[in-house]
Amino acid sequence: MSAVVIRALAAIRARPASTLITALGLFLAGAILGSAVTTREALGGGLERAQRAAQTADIVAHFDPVALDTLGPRLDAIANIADWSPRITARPVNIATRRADGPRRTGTAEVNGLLLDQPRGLLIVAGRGLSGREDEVVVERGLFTAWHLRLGQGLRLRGRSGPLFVRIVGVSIEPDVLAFPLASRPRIYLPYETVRNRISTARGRLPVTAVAINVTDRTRLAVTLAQLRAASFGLDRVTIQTRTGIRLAIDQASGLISSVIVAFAIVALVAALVMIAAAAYARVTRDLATIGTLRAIGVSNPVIAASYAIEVAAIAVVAIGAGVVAGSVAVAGQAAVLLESFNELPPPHPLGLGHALVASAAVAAAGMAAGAPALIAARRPVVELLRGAAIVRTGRAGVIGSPLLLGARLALSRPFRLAAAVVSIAGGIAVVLVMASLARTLVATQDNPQSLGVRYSLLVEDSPGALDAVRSTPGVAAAAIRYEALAVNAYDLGQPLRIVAFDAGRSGVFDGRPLLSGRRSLGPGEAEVGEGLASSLGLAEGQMLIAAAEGGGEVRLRIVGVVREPTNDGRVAYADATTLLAAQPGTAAQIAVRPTAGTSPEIVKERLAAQGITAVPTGGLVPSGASFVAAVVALLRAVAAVNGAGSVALTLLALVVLARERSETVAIVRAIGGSRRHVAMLLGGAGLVLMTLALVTAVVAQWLLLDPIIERLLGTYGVLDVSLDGRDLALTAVGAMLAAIASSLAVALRYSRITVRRALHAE
Amino acid sequence: MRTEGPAATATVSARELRRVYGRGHAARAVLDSVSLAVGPGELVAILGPSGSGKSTLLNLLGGLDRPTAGEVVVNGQSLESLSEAALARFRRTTIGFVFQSFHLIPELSAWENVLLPARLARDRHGGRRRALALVETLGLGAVIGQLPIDLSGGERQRVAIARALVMDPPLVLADEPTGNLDAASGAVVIEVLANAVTAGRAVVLVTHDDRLARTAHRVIALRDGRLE
Ligand SMILES: Nc1ncnc2c1ncn2[C@@H]1O[C@H](COP(=O)(O)OP(=O)(O)O)[C@@H](O)[C@H]1O
Ligand SMILES: [Mg+2]
Repeated sequence: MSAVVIRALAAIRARPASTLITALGLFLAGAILGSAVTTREALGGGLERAQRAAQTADIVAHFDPVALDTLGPRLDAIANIADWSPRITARPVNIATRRADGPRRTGTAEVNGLLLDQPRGLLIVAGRGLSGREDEVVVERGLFTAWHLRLGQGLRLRGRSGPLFVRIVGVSIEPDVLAFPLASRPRIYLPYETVRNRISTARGRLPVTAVAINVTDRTRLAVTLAQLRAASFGLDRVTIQTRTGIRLAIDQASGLISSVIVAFAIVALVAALVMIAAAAYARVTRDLATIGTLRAIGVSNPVIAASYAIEVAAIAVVAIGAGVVAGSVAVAGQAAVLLESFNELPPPHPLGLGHALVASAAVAAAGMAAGAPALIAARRPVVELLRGAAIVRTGRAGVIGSPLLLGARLALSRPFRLAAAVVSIAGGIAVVLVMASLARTLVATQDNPQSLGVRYSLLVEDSPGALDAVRSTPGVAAAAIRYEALAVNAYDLGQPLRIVAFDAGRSGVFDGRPLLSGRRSLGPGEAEVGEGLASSLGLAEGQMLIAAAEGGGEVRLRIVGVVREPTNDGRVAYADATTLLAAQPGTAAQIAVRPTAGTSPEIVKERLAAQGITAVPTGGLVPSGASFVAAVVALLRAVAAVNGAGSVALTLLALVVLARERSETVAIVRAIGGSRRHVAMLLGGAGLVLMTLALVTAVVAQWLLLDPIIERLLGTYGVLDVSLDGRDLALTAVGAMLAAIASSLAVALRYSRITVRRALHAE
Repeated sequence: MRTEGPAATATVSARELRRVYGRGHAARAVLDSVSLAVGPGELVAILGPSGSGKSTLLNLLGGLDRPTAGEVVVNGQSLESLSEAALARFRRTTIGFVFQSFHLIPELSAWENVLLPARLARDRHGGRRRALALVETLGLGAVIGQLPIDLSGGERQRVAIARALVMDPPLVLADEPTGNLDAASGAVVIEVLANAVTAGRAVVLVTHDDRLARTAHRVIALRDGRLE
C-alpha cells in the first residue's frame, strides 16, 4: 500500500469525531440520491415492464356489441394485423362478497368475458388464469387488495336472471388502465360463455364488445389504425386506444413525479457536494502546515490531493452506500403503492445497476470535492503554507466589542472559509425552501386535484372582451385569449385534428406539453404538434402541416416541435392566433384562466361569476380523483421528507463542524477567564454572521438559480409552483437562526464541560 | 476569608497534589504528593527533565486542570470548591497564564489579544492603560497592530506575556516562557517577569533556561512526578 493511502487511513482513524460527521453528511447525501433513483426506476419503467409481461396488445378497440361473424372477416382483411382476440364486456354488474367471508362488501364491476384462457394484455400476478370452468373468476389486483379478498373465496354476481356464484382463482393486472380504486369500477374476468349466457344483455350469435390486436410491423401502425377506422364502419361508439397512447397518458402523470423527484435530488446533491467541498476546504485550511511539511519533504501536489481524496472516498464508500440503501427503502413503499394504482410492475430488483452507478459517481464526486481544495492549497508557496496563512484583518484596530461582535469578527476574518461555509449552508437552506414550497403546492393540489398538470384550470367562453376584468380579478395569476378549431388533413382519412391557438409564443406558457423534440413555437406560422399527429402523418420538425379548417380556410403551419400530447390521440397542433384566424376568421375566442398557486379554481370561478363572467373548469391532464392525487402526494411527500430532513441535518452538521473548528479559540478564551456565557456569545456571534449571509445567499440562489432550473425541469408538466413564499421564508429564517444559536450553545456547553487543558489539546 | 497556616500568607499553595492520567492498566501518576507554597513577591522556578510533570503541575496551580487528589489554594480560595464557571471568573482577575506555545487567537491583532482579558472583565479603561504600559515595556509598539501570524516567535511570546499581565493578577504562571526564544528576546521576557515580582506578584515558571533559573528565589526540581 502506498504512503498516500496509509496517511489517509491513519487520518480517518485519528479523528473519529470528524470521520463520523463526514460519514453522516455523506450518508444523508446518499439517502437523497437513493430516494431519487428508486422512484425514477420504479416509475420510469413500470408500465413497460407490466406491458411486456402482460403482452399488452398494440391496439385495443371498444364498441357496442357486434357479432363475431361480422367483425372477424373485417379484421382478417387488414394486412398488418398479426393476431386478435375478442372479449365481451358487460357493465355495470353488481358484485358482493359472501357473508361467510367476513364483513359484506358490495359494488359494481366491469365484467370481461374471455374467449381464451390466457388472453393477451392480462397478467396473472397471483393464483392462476381461467381454466374454462363456468364458476371461476379472476379479479384485478386493485379490487383484491381494497376488498381484502383471498384466493378460493366466493363472489356473488347479479346475473341476467338471478344471482351467480363464482370462486376467485387468480389475481391479475391489465396495464392499459388505472387500477381500482383509481378507476371507478374494478375489472373482473369470467369465461366468455358465462358472461354471454348468464350476464350480458347483448343479443345475437357470439356478440363481442372489444378486441385486442397485435400488428406485425409497428412502424406501419398509423396505416393500420386508419384501415381499422375504415373497417369500423357501422359499429357504434368505437374507441381505439394504442399501446403508445396508453403510455403517453400514464407517463404524463408518472413523468411529472419523476421529474419533480429528479429535480430535487439534483438540487440536494449539489448542496451536499458543496458541503463536502467546504468541509474539505476547512480541513485543508487547518492542515496547511502539514501540507507545507509534506511539500517540504518532497511530496508532489497531486499526491497530496490524492491523499485527501482517498481519505474522504474511503468514508464515502461505506456512508454513501448505506445512504443509498436507506433512501431507497424510505420511498420504496410509496413508489410501490403508486405503481399498483397505475397497474404497473416494480423493478425486478429493489436495488439495481442504477443505484450502483449513482453511488459510485457520488463516491467519486465526494473524493474530488475533498481533493480539489487540497490541490489548490498545495499550489501555494511552501513558506506560506508552513506559516498557515488564511486570515485577513477585519475591523478597526484596537476595537473589540462585546463577545458577540468578537465572534462575528472571528467569522469574517477568514473570508474564504466563511464563503465556503456560507455556500454550503445556503445550499441546504435553499433545498429546505424548495421543499417547503413543494409541500405547500402539494397541499393545494390535494384540495384541488385538477390543478396537477395543467396550466389553466378555467375557461371563459364567448366573452373575449372580459380579458382585462378577468386579469384584474384577485386570485388570477394569468389569463390569455385562446382559440380552438377542428381541421382535417387530406391524407389522414378523415379523423379531425384539433388546432389550439394562443397569441404567438404563448401556447408554451398556457398549454406547454412536454417537448419531445425540436423547440417551442415562437412566431406566426409555427406549430408544435402532438406525437400522435406527427407519427400518423409521418411529419417531423421543419415540415409543413397543411389542413383544412372546419370553416373551409387552409391552415399552413411549419412544425418546429413535437410534444407529448395525451388528449385526442395526440392529434393536436399548437399554433398562434394570427395564423388560425387568417384561415378561419370567425373562430370563437375563449379566455384561459390560471389561478394563483394555492387558490382553488372554484373560488376564482365564483369571483368571476360575481362580475357576470361565466367560467367552466377544464379537466386535469392526470386522471382526476382525490385518491390518485393522494397517492402522488404521498410519494412526493416521502421524497420531500428525505430531501428536506437530509438538508436540515446537513446544515446542522456544517454548523457543528464550524463550531468545532473554534475549539482552540474557545479554550484560550476560557483559559484567560472567559465564562461559559462569553464562549456561547462568541460562537453565537460567529454563527449569526454565517447564518445571515447564508440566508441571503439561499434566497438569491433560489431566486436566480433554483427557480429557473426547476421551472425548466418541471415546466413542461404545468403548474407546480415552487417560487418563494414569504411565510415559508420567514419560518425557514427563524429556524435557521435558531439552529445557529442552538449549535453554538451545544458546542459552547461541550467545551465548557471538559477541562481547559484537554480543550487546548483537542484536535 | 483566609485560612490559617502557611497558606495564609502564600499567594498560591498546593498540598499533596496527585494527578493520574488514564484508567485501569493504563493509569499512571504523572504527579504525586507535590506540595509547595509561593508568596507575594516571590519567583519560583520549576526544573526537571521533559515529561517529569512540570506542565501538569502548572496547569493544576492555574485551575486549567483538576487534581486527582490534593488541594490548590490561590489567594486564599480553594480551587476545588469552585464550579467551572466560578473558576473561569476567578482566573480572569487572579491568574495570568503564559503558555509554552503562546496560544494567541489567530484572528485578533496583537493589541486585541493583549486587551481581551480586560474586555471579558469589562475593565476597558484600566485595561487600556495597563496594556499601553506593557506594550511600551515589552517593546511591542511597532508590531502591535499585526496578526499573530505575522509576528516572530519572540514577539508572540511577549504578546502572550502582556496578555497574562494586563489584569494585574496576583499570580503569574509561565510554562517555558523563553523556551522558543533567542537570547535577546529571552532577556526582555526575563526582565518583565522580574518587574512583576518586584511589583509584588507571585510568579511560578517552568524553565530549562539557566539565566531565568538564576533570577529565581527558589528552584524546585521535579523528577518522575515527585519533588526532589
Ligand atoms: N492528557 C494526558 N493524558 C495522558 N498523559 C498525559 C497527558 N498530559 C500529559 N501526559 C503525560 O504526563 C507526563 C508529564 O507531562 P508534562 O507535565 O507535560 O511534562 P513536562 O514536564 O515535559 O511539562 C508525560 O509523560 C505526558 O506524556
Ligand atoms: Mg511541558
